[in-house]
Amino acid sequence: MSKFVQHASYYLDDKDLSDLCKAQNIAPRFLLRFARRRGLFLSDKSSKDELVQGLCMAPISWDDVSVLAEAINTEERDTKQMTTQLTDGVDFDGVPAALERVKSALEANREIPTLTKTGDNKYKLEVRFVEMQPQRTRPLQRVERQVTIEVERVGGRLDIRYSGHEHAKQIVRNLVKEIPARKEKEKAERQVSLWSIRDPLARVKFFTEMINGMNGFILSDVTDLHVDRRFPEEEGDADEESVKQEKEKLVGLVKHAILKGDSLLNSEFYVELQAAGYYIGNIVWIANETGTDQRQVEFYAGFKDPILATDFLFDVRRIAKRDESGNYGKLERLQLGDRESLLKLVEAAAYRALERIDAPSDEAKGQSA
Amino acid sequence: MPGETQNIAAMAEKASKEIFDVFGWRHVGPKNKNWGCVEQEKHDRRRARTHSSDVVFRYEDPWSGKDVYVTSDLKSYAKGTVAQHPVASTLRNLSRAVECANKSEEFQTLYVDFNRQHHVMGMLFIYNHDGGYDEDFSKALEGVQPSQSDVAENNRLGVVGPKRVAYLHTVAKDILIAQGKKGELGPDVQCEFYYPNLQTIRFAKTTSSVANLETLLCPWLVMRYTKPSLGISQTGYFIYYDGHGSSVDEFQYLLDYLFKYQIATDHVKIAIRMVFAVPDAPALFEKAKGNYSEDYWPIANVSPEQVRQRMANISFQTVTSLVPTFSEVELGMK
Repeated sequence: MSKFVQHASYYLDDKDLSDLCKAQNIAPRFLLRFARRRGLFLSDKSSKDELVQGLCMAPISWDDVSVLAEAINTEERDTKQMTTQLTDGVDFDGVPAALERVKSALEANREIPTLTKTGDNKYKLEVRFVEMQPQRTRPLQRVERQVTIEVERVGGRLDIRYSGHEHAKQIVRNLVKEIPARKEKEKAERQVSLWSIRDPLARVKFFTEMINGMNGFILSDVTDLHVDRRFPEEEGDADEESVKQEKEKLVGLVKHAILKGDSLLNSEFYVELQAAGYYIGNIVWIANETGTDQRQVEFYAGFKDPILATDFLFDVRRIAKRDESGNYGKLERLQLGDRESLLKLVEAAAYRALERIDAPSDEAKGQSA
Repeated sequence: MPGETQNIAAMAEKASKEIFDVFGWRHVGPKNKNWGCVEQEKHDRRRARTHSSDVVFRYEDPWSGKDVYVTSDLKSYAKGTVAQHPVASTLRNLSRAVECANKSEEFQTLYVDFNRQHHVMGMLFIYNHDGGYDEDFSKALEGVQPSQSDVAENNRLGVVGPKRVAYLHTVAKDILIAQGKKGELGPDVQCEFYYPNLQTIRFAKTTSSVANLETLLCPWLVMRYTKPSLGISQTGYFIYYDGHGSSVDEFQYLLDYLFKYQIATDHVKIAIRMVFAVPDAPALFEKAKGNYSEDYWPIANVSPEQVRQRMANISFQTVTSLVPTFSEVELGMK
């Protein structure tokens, strides 16, 4: 969640209010209601600019600002998740204390963390903090955010799922450092990263394996694809001349593209792009559940920076139920309970896909033998 | 209905004298007058072919510099009965009257000075004749949809509801008392309402004897006074604030308004005068001054001593709410 936070020692002047109304796309209907609260009835035939100006001319109280904030602060739609797993060497008895230490550090930083034990081996750390965004319009520079970090022991492994936000990532880095290792073993951590994969087809394979490897679901459609053909430059990778040649080769070529539609993986255009060396960076797909519920779910997965391919983000976007005649209804935002289990499915499918592309193929094995 | 006519006239007279005179409004032309509708088809006036003005006020708008005529509909009702009154249809009638008044030759002949640029606005003035006010009215008002009030383009209406009537009446009385012989300011004082220029908006006048309709409906009213003291004129401000003062934040916010618009400067006394203050308001106000000083001083180009002095000049004062008596009978909505 993110919220518009107004500092009480900063009066919103006419320009601030005008910027705020524009930046937040506040509807004229709201502005008319806002005026009506004071007993001022403006015309609904007036333009939005006229309404904003009409309201800005007289002072605005703190109470008015609270009403504005309430109208602006809606639930954040960006709910993407990230993942990391401690696969070995974790001293599980030390996890609660590690979480407490991280919580204390956050409190010392004037943040508001809440730590909850959500199951036998599960914890949830929710953190509220104010983020400064100096590039935004003045009244919106202070944004209250909330990030969540979920920690769950699964057998001998510790799964950590967290909000796709830089601050959550930093908290997780601190938590991983704080979690003690067993005496006899070092901690092992794994994340979903394709940074070292420089073969476009292998990157494509990761995504196709993942969307086809969702337990209890069958792929129905791919509706959104972000493709790219660039790779990160490695240190000492190439001399200046070869970098220059590579850049010259890219002149006149499409570096990346976003495809939207139906059956994208089978589209002629995508097939051509793939053949030309493009790989997938982000994907939105729809899958049908095979069990009793038989729901249709829209998923998202991809990398924050498709070229670096280090920060893996995933999400469950919408869900549709199937009626008695077998038709799916409209895709809608889903309930929290459903969301958690579906997120785990994407996460598991991503790690499995990663193992498959990491594992050398039979053909390669034969060659090396 | 001669009885109602007399009551409206009496109520208009009292409201003018006890409230609007103080804010620089003057009533003009005949009271409780019907005049012809010029948009009969649009306003569905096949039966009643007229609009009415209980009283028309005129003031020179400090924002635009134009003359503003406020055609007013005066209502009086008993506490608890407002929900039964058709607020939406009363507002629709008023907005139609305003639309016509801006075009009607008859209205202009009766009320308007043609030599000056002018515009007509509407005011619904609703008063609880059995004392106090109730919250039902605010709810009824919020429920009125724009399509129901049907305000024409470039027009606007103001509703001075029961609570606002009590508030404005108290403020007006307070200003008059302060200017009295034994008052805080005394009779030699010169008082004007202050409209600091905004970032993107320049007003026709920054000081004026008029508080326009929009200002009377907004959260605070800034009155600047200048009084001679030992041959030197001394400037100060009364800030009439309609909030409850129930949080430190609301005072901090008001303080920044005073500093941002350079109302709070050295040697200027400012009194925040509140009608509806909660008992804790004075303590919260002092806390807000402390908080604001901490926030303000590091970014302002002044010394901590100057900030302390400016803060010491800003005081909190409560104003006792008065219950007005304008009418003792029901003047219902039509």
